[in-house]
Amino acid sequence: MKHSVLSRRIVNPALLLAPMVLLLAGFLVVPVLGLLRSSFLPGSHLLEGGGFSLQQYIRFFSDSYYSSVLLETFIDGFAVSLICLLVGFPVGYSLARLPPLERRWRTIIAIMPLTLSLVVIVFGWLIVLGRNGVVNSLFISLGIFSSPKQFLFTRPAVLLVLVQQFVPFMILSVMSVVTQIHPVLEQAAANLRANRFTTFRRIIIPLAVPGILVGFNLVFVLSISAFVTPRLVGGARIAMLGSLIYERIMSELNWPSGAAMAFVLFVSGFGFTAAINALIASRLIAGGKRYAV
Amino acid sequence: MKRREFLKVATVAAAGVLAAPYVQAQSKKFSGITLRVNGFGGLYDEALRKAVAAPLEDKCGLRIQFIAGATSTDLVKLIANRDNPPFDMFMADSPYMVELLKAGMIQEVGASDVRNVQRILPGFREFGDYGVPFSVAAVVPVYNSKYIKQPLASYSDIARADLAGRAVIPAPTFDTSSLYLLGLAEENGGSITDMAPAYKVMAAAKPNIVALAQATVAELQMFQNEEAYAGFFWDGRAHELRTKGIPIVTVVPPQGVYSITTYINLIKGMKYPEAAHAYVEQLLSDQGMLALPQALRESVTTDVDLPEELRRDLLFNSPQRNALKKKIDWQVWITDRSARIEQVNKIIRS
Amino acid sequence: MRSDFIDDAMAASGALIRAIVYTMLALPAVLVIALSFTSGDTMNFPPTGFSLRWYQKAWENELFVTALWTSTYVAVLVAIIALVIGFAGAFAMNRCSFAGKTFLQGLAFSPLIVPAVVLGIGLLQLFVWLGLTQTIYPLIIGHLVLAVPYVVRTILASLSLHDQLLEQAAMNLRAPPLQVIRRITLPLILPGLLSAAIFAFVTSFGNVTVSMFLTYGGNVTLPVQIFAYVDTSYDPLVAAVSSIMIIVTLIVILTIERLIGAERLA
Repeated sequence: MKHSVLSRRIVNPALLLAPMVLLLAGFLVVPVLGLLRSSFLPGSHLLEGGGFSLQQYIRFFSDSYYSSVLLETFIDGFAVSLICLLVGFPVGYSLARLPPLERRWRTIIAIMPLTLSLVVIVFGWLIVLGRNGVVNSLFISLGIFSSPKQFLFTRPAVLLVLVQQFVPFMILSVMSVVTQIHPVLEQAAANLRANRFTTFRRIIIPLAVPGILVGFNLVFVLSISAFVTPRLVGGARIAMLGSLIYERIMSELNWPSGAAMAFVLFVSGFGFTAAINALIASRLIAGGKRYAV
Repeated sequence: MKRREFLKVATVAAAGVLAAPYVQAQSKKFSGITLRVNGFGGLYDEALRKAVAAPLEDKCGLRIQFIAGATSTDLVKLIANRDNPPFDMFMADSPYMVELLKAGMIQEVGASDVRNVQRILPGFREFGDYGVPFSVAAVVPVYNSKYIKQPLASYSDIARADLAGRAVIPAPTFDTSSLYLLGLAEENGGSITDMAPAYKVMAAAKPNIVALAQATVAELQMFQNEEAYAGFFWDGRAHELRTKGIPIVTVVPPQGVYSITTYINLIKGMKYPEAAHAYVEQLLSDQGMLALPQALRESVTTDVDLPEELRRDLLFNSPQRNALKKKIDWQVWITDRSARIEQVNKIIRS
Repeated sequence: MRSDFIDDAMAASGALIRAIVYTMLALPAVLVIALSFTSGDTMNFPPTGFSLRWYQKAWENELFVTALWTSTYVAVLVAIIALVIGFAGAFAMNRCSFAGKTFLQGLAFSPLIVPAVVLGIGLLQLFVWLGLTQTIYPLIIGHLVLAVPYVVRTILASLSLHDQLLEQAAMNLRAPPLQVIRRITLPLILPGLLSAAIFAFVTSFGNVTVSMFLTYGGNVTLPVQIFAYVDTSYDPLVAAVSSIMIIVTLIVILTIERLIGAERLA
């Protein structure tokens, strides 16, 4: 597995990796380092340069408001990823098992939200969830509600819209791995009198772990840095760190402080996903090996 | 060719009174020149294109390109690209003017450059010879008269108990629309340097405030869908809601109205100052000045005669009203912005 | 008996979840498309009457048409380049062992965790320094950076699952390596490639937050144009333009599928 015949015979891996590494080093690492540098500036404006100070970080961590927002952001991100996993897995799995013709249109529905401008999606949800919106009108005409309920500007609304936005990533990730799990494995399990639940738990899920993890990580990092949705659907009450960073940088032009907050989010998000990966991957892959190999 | 040009000039001349006579004399003077301006998007740019850019192109061949974007991003782009600015002219509201001046990127424009500058009303030029004001918008209390029976009278009324869960206000992150905070402070004995009274009112109003609007259109939508019945909003937008059949009443607080002015600026080192001056001249002419009131009901900055249907709708429509326009120390307003945003965030989002 | 019950329960709940998810995913798009055909002037639901006038207005709006073209060619270009770069990178990471592999995987994933505003401003500073701000390159490069993680991760997941026995067999039969990749590896991981290409296209086509910093006079992308438009006005024109975006995306997805599908037959 480690060093396959094929790769040894074609090319040096360095050559294959070079374009990607150059792209990311030049246009991701360099700009990010530039901002890392600005996060250590003492000033509070993009035009004030020079000096070195830990002031921005000290300000962030000494104010419990920011730590509580960071914590809330992580809880929200985790909740969104978990919901996406729960609802996205069955969809991705069924897509993978459908004949290509039926799969096509369903895949397209799944991808659709990714193509719509976020602003437009959010306005679509305002129509659905509003006080005079589709859901309220429906429930009132069915006699379930007696008066319109407030859905917008609440935390569940933010989570719902984030799930809708990011669940396609989960679906596609799950789908692309499940298509490669041979149905023969499932039939074999069925022949051994395993019910579907056991088959899922012992065979499908362990084998699909790479896809699940990709999906989970994607959704998590996208959720914690989201800012348009919390700003538009969250109304007044919901604070997520992404929107605070956006405000700090774009409205206050306070790059040093915004950059510092961004790095706190970056490092803690990275640590969190790495921890989850290590934890789940080792456990499930080990389980998968035991039963599926 | 000649004849055609003559006809064109003749038509413009016949249209006559509207156009400043000397612009015609510059016939085709600027053909081949394109000036880049940051756009505000949608109807705003459309109105300026029709009443300012198009006549100018007919008269002297000058082309104006409005580049869509958000002002804050465009400002960042401009300042970052100091040596090779992506714009020749820059439209900016009062608070952004402070940033532009700090960055030292704009030129002065005086009456000797643009004759119509003389027509600007007293007190409407907040930054000396920097920035030519062409439009004014006020942030005022508004309410839906279908649901709110007792009229609001001042900014402070936002904390009234009968508005529980029904008010929307612009997010404090906008240095423009968050001027209501200054209103709250000054109505309660505070000032721009002592904002504590404003935060006290905000804390009292917290149960009323269902959303901090993050975009003008979002707030518009909330009033239109009756998610909110009262709040602070732009006077022009309140009028737009009325045209859509929503009975939104604009309140003119007797203690004063807080407003922003929109300026056009020439970027330092731009290649065609003369062409830009011609644009500004047209912008301040009767035709140019009435464009934004007609499209968005934003108030004017010159002594232009207002047609009756506009006079009725505009907030600053008489010397008495103009006197209510509060003077604001923008430098201080900008300097204290971080503290302000943090305060309001902590009050509302916790 | 027990296993039958569990099977039924799983089938039923699966069907329910699928119905809910598809409804939820399609809802905003369906609403937007429905509203784009309104004959009224406002975005109220339900729409009043039927007309094509907002499409006509969109078509006559030079700004939107130019922006649509810019967005499309940037996104297609980005999808192609990202697929090539991403496949090479993912292949090397999956099939070779070398020092710092975990680090590289982290690197490939990192554009996602950098908040868009940070990446946007960072890139803007860099391109100013390079003197490239008023060209199309910032947009393409910026979008490439955003697309790489999707592409690499999707292809990696595919590669790590597929069986290398076939490749080894072909190698043992002395097939040239490139032919092995083309005939065996690529067709085997086709679903992964497909979603990778679509991810890349969609990432570029829909991005606002990074694009805002990288567009300049002649090259404003459609989402940025819509964003700016919505800032001052919200009428069914936005719905019409968004519907056109949906259609373009559909065409591109179907074309990608056709192209890659054809390759499989070869």
